Amino acid sequence: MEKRAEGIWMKLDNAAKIYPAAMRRDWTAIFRFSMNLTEPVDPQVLAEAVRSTLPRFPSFSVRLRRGVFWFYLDQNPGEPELQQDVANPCVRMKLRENRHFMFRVRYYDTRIAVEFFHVLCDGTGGLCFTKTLVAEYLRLKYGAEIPRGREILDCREAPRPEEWEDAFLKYAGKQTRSRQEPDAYFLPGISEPPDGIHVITGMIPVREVLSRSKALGVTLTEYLTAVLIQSVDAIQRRHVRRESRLKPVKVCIPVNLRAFFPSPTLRNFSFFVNPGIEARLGACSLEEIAALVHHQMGLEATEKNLRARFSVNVRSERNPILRVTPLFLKNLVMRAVFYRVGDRKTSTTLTNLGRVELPQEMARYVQRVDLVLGPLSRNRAVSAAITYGDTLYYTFTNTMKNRELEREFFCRLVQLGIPVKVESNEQWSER
Amino acid sequence: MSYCVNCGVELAESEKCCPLCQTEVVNPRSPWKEPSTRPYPPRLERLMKRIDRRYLALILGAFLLLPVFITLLCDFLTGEGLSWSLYVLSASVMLAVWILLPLWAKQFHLLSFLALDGLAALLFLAVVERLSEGSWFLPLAAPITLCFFSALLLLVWLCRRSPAGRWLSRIALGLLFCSVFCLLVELIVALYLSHQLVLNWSLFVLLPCLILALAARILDSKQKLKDEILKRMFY
Repeated sequence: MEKRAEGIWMKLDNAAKIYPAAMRRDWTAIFRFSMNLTEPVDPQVLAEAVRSTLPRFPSFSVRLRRGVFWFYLDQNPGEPELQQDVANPCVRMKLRENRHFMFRVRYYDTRIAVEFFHVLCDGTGGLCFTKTLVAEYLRLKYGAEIPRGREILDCREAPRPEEWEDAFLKYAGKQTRSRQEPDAYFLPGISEPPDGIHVITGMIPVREVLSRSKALGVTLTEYLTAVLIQSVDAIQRRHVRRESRLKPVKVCIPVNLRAFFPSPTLRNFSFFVNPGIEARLGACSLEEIAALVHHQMGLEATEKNLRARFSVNVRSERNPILRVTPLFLKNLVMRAVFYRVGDRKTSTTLTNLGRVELPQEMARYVQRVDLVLGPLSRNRAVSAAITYGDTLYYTFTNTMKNRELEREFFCRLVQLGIPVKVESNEQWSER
Repeated sequence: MSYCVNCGVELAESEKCCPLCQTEVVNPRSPWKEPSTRPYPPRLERLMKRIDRRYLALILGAFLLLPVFITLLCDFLTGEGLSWSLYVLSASVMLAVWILLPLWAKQFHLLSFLALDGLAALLFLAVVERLSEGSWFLPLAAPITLCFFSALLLLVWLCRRSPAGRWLSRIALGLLFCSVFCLLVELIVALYLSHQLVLNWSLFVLLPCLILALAARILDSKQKLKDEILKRMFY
């Protein structure tokens, strides 16, 4: 095993600070990338691949520790345990049981999956780690010579300090913008126990979605968001009779800030935009919603606006009174703020990582790429999209007994003439 | 290749029923067979659902027994027999009824537990009176305790009967409970102290509570007014 960077400790990045305070016995903010290969995974080779990948990612081989004033990340000299995959992915991560690592590598048949606690990284960092891990696996297993670069890191290279910089602090400005907005509609439904996670993946030909989004003059994410908003709106209209009581329907769309502020960081560097509709004003057609989403994204997802919005958080972090407040008090306040604000401002989440490009030498071994977003603290149905090859993999994660949102969304796509093939984590044979 | 007749989506080979609507898909040309590999393995990662209430009751019970044993031992070692340790014993019995019984019970019957809580409180007060050789239990403590628990039982029963979402009516009931309880307490105390039925301070509680309860009840019955207030109080 290569020697890992010793003595490195890190402050939590600005976006990560909320997650340790908000984590519960039965919930942690988790997301997961997985890649399906052409042959069953060899666990011994995979363990070797993890060992050779980890030294290249010092910001991933860390453990969460409590300081007097803040949580911090300390080097974790141990080795993560390779785990067999389970039917309910993204169940809360108990750090002690996970040898204090904040990610876990799982395998099942031909699939390698990595689940990340959001304290570590965002989707971009997670995807980079997963791609590098799988590339290392393919190198060790098949001797594949996969070209390395910015997205698949060379494990023989020394890690660069910029890769674990807190880009929020680097790019925060003086001007801030309030985050106040009204609460959104909350999807109704009886909750499953915390380990009851339903995963439904829709496999959709991406060109079909692209052609329809282009016809409306919007991007693929905006088009999917519009369909999702319309689905939530339809559910709300079924459950809430009085129009005056209808609440806004908004969807949280994470935005990769690296597109606006160049940074090689592998840690969190994304923000969010909450496009939506005011349902009280009446039902909207898909064209109307798509136009609304397109313009809201155009207004909100700009460099200056995003900078002003994340600078609010950075300013709070720099507040001298807050800095010297003991951690246990800070935790109480942050937890209260998280549950009061958190995901109350949106009805659901859609994160689209876009198209995953792999070098030809690697793509011949990889059949499929998936992204699963763990359930949020309050919003119990969330979705994630990722495109690989010609297929868009759209995955819903739901911790409710009903599948109303998934059904509404996929049926709408079918009605729009987009074929959808679904698979799930249901265990039919045990029923 | 099978499609759900209800949703129109194509089902992967692994799906016996449509995962969106649970409709079983019967394709006579290709009946469903359990595939050799499913998208996800059958093993579930189980989380402990909730704290084992009975286990918690046992632990708390053990903690509760400690002071009882120590005081009993002290009492017997000093040769006084059962004396002051009865205070601790009766308080522990009351706490056991209040806390351990609901934790131990398989089903949570709120009304029954509240009634038992009242009886336990009465028992505790009776023991304290007997040990302190007072004469305040029957004329003072018992009526106040009975009034409190009877009113509480009535309040809980009425709140349960009121339809969901009528939170203003529940507030009105709570206010009524406060005012009536204060009234009764003053009457009982006045009877005990001066053998007269005189009302004084409880009227200052009664009147505002009654006015507020009436306002809440009226507000709850006027949906338009409620909507208007919620709209104007929007933040």
